[in-house]
Amino acid sequence: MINSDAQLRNDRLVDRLADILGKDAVITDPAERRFYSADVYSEGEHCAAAIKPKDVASLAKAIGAITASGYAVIGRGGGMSYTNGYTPIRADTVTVDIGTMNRILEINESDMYITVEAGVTWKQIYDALKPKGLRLPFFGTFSGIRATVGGGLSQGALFMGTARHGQAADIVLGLDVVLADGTLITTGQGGFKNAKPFYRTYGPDITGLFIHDGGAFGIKTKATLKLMRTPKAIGFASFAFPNIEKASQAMSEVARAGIAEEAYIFDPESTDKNMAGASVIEDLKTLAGVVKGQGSFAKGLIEGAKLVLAGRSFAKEGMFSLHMVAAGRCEAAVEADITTAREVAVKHGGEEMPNSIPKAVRADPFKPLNGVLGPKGDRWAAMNAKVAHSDAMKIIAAGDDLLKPYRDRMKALNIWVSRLFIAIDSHAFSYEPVLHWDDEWLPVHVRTPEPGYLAKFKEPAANPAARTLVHEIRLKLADLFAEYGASSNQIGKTYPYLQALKPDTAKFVTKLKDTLDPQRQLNPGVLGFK
Amino acid sequence: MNSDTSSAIVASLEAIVGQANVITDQTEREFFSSDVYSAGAICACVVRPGSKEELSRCVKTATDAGYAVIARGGGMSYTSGYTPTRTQTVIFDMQRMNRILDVNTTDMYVVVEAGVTWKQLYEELKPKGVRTPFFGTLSGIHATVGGAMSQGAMFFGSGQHGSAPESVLGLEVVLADGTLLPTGQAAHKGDGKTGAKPFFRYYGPDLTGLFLADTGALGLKATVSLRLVRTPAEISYGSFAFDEMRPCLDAMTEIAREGVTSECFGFDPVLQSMRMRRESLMKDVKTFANVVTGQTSIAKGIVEGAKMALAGRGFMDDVKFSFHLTCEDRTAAGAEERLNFCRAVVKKFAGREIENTIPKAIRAYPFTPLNNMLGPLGER
Repeated sequence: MINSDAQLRNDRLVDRLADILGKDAVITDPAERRFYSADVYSEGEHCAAAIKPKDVASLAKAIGAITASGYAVIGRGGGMSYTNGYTPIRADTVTVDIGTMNRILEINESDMYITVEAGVTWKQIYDALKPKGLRLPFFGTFSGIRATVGGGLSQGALFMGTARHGQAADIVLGLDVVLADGTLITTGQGGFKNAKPFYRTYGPDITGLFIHDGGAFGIKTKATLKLMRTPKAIGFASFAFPNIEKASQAMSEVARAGIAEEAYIFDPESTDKNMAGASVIEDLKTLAGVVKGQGSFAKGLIEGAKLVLAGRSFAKEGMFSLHMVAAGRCEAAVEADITTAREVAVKHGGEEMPNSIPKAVRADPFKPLNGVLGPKGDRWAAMNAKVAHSDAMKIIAAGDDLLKPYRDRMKALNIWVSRLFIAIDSHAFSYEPVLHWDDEWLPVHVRTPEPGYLAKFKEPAANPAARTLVHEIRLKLADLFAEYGASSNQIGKTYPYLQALKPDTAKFVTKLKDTLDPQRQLNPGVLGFK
Repeated sequence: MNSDTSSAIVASLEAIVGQANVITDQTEREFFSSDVYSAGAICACVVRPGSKEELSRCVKTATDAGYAVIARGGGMSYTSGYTPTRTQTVIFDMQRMNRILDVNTTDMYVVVEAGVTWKQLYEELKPKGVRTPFFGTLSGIHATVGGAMSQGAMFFGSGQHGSAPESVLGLEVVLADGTLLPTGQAAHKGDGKTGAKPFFRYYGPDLTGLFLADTGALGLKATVSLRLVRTPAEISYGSFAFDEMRPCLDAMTEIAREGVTSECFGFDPVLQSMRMRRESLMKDVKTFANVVTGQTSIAKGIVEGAKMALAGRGFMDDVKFSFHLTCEDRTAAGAEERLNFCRAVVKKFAGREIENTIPKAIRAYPFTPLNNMLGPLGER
């Protein structure tokens, strides 16, 4: 802290928080504050303190104390995002580590819902439900070993189960949210007297206001989510296409037909990366997972053997690979879905290839997050645009055009781009260009991967020139996406959300913000609220 | 009510929508001011806007003049949803706003004006092989999309897709001051000319949900965008009888947890006997024709239709509690497997399978004429 008045104010708040939460739960160590203030992409202002609450009552009290003292407050889940979702824009900020509130409170098999604290990870839920034959419809992100339910709900998380069941927002029945003044509210049916949290839509939906809000409207402490029974039959298919036009048309048709739980395309760069990143040992690990994941042990052995035999030799140069998971109630139904997918792929010039990738993902969906670093210890950051199917090629081409003038400078600085494409439900196509570059690591890159993995690399030197260019390209992409009327997950402080809204809707959202957070203390800068 | 102010508001509204679309006749005002259950205060007038622009201007005119505004869709509700509590009210009859604006089978959404009925939408989409996930209420011949969205309607498709609000991608809502507020992706500028497409709901905090199941308390819905799904190719039906209520409910809830049905609904003995007396459902010949055309193949249809006619109404004679269900799937094997799961559950709870006439008849003719506004003997 700079001057003594500010220092005094800071000390007073830290003492107050220690009174409420206990001394151990208030973190002021500079290295830790830096850790809490940087995401996978970049570093923000360092927060004044981080707190690790153990229960909602003391958290609500702490938030009341933080805002009363004029500080900003930001909730941080697993910390796996890269759009400045939780990095502070001012130093007088207290960051709440929601990860310490990680209890599964109720699994109600009779009423088909689960209630969890916001710091529970997707993996934790997956593991708890699996032996009961249950699952969440959307059941997590790639980063689900660390990414939390609270973070996923703030950021619009998607991936596992998304082609059929949508994203995090679609599975929520109700929330507990601490508002800026420390008030704790319950949304959904659980918000009514004498009621269970089994239903979302009774009267105007309040729940949705706090979903994908980036923590601008409140801090989520608890969520009730829908359960489903795990599909009895599952099938996998992968197809190679000569270009993205054909591959994306095939994926859109798979999405419209409603035949997949997941459908995604890797571009040639990502296909290579996925093959290069895997080692023989990891293949064996995956094999063990595949064997366990199959319906019958015998079938598992056959599938596992196929996976190893397929190896990584199937990657063809320059191909786009479409991967899908089909799931249903019986083998015949899944086989029919896969057959339909084959017909679609062939019609669009695709060729079937071994289905190792979607199978490996499902066998062990939440792997250790060595992927926070690229395959060569490089840094990466993704951008995301969801468009209607008929706009898919338009936005992909516009993205390519945007990158063209940068080609020489990118090459000189060793910046490269890979692309991922994902189907969301029947009605959205997600385009995700990922920028890769060499740069020094942030705390999260050192702390997240398995030690053995990290030991393989030497930390690159700081590379401000590449970093600056990556930043410029990201901002350009964000503007381009807004121009195309695209939706993006992980709005954070990266996408021009408020600025891209039509005037009347922008005014309406601003009024909501003024009501819920009049002093602009909840995650300042997120959603475009300064 | 002061008739001077009343004539002033009538004149202002007539200037917007034309004389023919402002109703002042006493009998008509009484009609529009009561629902299936009871009569409210009689509104000052009824206005029938023909577009979202007219709706917006009329709302502003009415609220500026101090009037309450209430939207009325098909008028099929019975909880005083749209009956006025004060006479200084303008009722908005939404039934002229009945255009289907955009059916986009490439991007899988449909945009409709709020006064479109579920039957109208179903019939428009049917030949295209798509439908909305929730696709209507039994009253869908009159009930409107806007009304269902205000009231949290459920029935057709609800077993898989929940209630009406869960099928929505975005809205255009007229606020109390006349502002026409877009929600969902279409609230984004996009290219600045037409704006973004209404293909997605959740980008940033969800505003759409505020205006769903709100009973018109927060705004008047002008247009609604809904998701589309491809109509499942195969369908199977089951009807099951129980002597006691408890096992009947236990079996229903277990089937619901498994997530296998598109609809699953039960009757108690009272409703049962009413159903059987009801002309509208059981006009055997008419229903026969529809069962035949509703089947995936004509031959299968004739067999099913004949079975129904033979079964007549006698199959329900000694039934106390019953439930009826529809399963859908992309494959015949899938549809059959779903039904078999239900059969196994029913067996476990000591129920028995009966003729599946009722769910079959309902699907053959989902939106029957509303003769059941009165009970089978003319009672309310």
